[in-house]
Amino acid sequence: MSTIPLGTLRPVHVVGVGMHPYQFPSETPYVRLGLAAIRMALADAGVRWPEVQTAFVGTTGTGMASGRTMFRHLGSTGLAVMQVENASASGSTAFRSAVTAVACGAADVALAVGVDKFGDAQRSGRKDGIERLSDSVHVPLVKFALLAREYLDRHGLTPRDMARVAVKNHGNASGNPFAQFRKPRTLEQVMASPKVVGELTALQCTPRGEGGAAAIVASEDAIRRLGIEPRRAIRVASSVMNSEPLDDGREPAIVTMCRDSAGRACRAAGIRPEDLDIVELHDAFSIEELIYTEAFGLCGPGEAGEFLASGASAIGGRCAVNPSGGLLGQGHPLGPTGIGQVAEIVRQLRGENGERQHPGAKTGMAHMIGVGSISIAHVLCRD
Amino acid sequence: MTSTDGPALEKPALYRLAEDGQSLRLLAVRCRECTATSFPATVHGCRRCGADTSALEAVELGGAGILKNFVTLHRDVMAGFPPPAIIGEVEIAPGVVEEVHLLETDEALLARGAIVQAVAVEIGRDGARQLACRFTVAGAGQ
Repeated sequence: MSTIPLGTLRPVHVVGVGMHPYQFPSETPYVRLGLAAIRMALADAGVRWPEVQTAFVGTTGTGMASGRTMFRHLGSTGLAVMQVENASASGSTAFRSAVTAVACGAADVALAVGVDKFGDAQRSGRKDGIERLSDSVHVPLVKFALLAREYLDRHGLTPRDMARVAVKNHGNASGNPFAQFRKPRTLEQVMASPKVVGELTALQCTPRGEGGAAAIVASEDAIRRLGIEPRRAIRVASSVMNSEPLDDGREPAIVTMCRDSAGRACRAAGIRPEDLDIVELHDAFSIEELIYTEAFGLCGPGEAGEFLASGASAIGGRCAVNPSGGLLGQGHPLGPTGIGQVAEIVRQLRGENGERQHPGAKTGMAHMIGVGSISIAHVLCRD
Repeated sequence: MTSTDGPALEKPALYRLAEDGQSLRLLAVRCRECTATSFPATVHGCRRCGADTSALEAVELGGAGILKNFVTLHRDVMAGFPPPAIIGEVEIAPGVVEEVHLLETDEALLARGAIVQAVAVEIGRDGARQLACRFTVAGAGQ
């Protein structure tokens, strides 16, 4: 477990966010996806490119040195560039790196950008020289279908209870201009979509896609110097990363990991889970939202089904979970995903999210998982 | 369904054919420092305490285990396993749970807590015949 001691370092604020809409695989070059997101983030911040001193690129499949290949189209300013790969959490990790750079004084203004194309990523887990009885260990879909069956049975829930996650998140995505899926779905449609593995149907699985997302973070000095409107600057209150412990048989290791990272992120931010107004989490498969809302402490043990069904996790509910549509609705292009979560939370905390605005949102958490598994959590606050 | 000679094992680093010519013994390791059992045996160190490979001694597991959970693949999500196929989680030694392929293709024939056994099943792979590992409910017509 690693927590950046943000409370003892320079305050860091997100001052600009931007996205290229997530979309199904296309011929669009990754450079165009990334640049669209960066230019939107610069415009959102009111910051010129030469002010950005360092950049972190989260990507899994674009290949070596994607940053410079993109950035030269913005002007060659000599900024520091680093590429970050951390599976599905690549963007979140790039964001954490940018936050660290500003917090420790290495930069006043830093960029985190996530960009990816579908299909080029390679899994190192298949190259460790160890055969397994079943290659299903390399297929997250199977792992989460197994988790789903265990969780539903243990708590007396039905497949329909789980499918409601997809109904909510596709509904949220339907009003999101950056989402890959923009169609509301009924429970009947979700249940009637083809079964894939176990109780998971196609509409309860994240789509394949591509896209871009960017966030610009800055110090308070930079905010003053660049004339950025303080009201639109959202403070990063905590940043925590950990990885899966050895499964001890008491609960799935991924649950332990997520409980620990989310709990530590809340404590480091000086808040309780019930103080969270917005949570963006890794719902690559619908069951994950039920499991993580419980693990994060948004509801009590075994109460995730009721938490969802009651509307507590809807926009306007107690805590809006995945108001962007999550990975199920907004999409999951890997590199951008974690920064897309941050972008949604920033817009929510600024009160700029239009019809999808969660009333009175002041505090949000972006929580991401990378296959393997690792998890990473950021709490953001409107001061 | 099985053979004692002829086809080679698909994954000989993971199992060997038992004397009955049908069931499989699983090749694991035990750590001399923390006593943890690890499977597969081809590890780069102890998964629990991190001891170097030199601290690991080879042990054989009988191939029987407890079926903890299972799901059906309804779509072609894994090459070589056309639907319907069932993936299970089996505790092959105390605290060691592995994902495995089950021989059964109907969930009605399975139950959590059932004892299942690793058996050799002949499959075709790249034009050759091989003996692959599948788990089946113990005593299910072996």
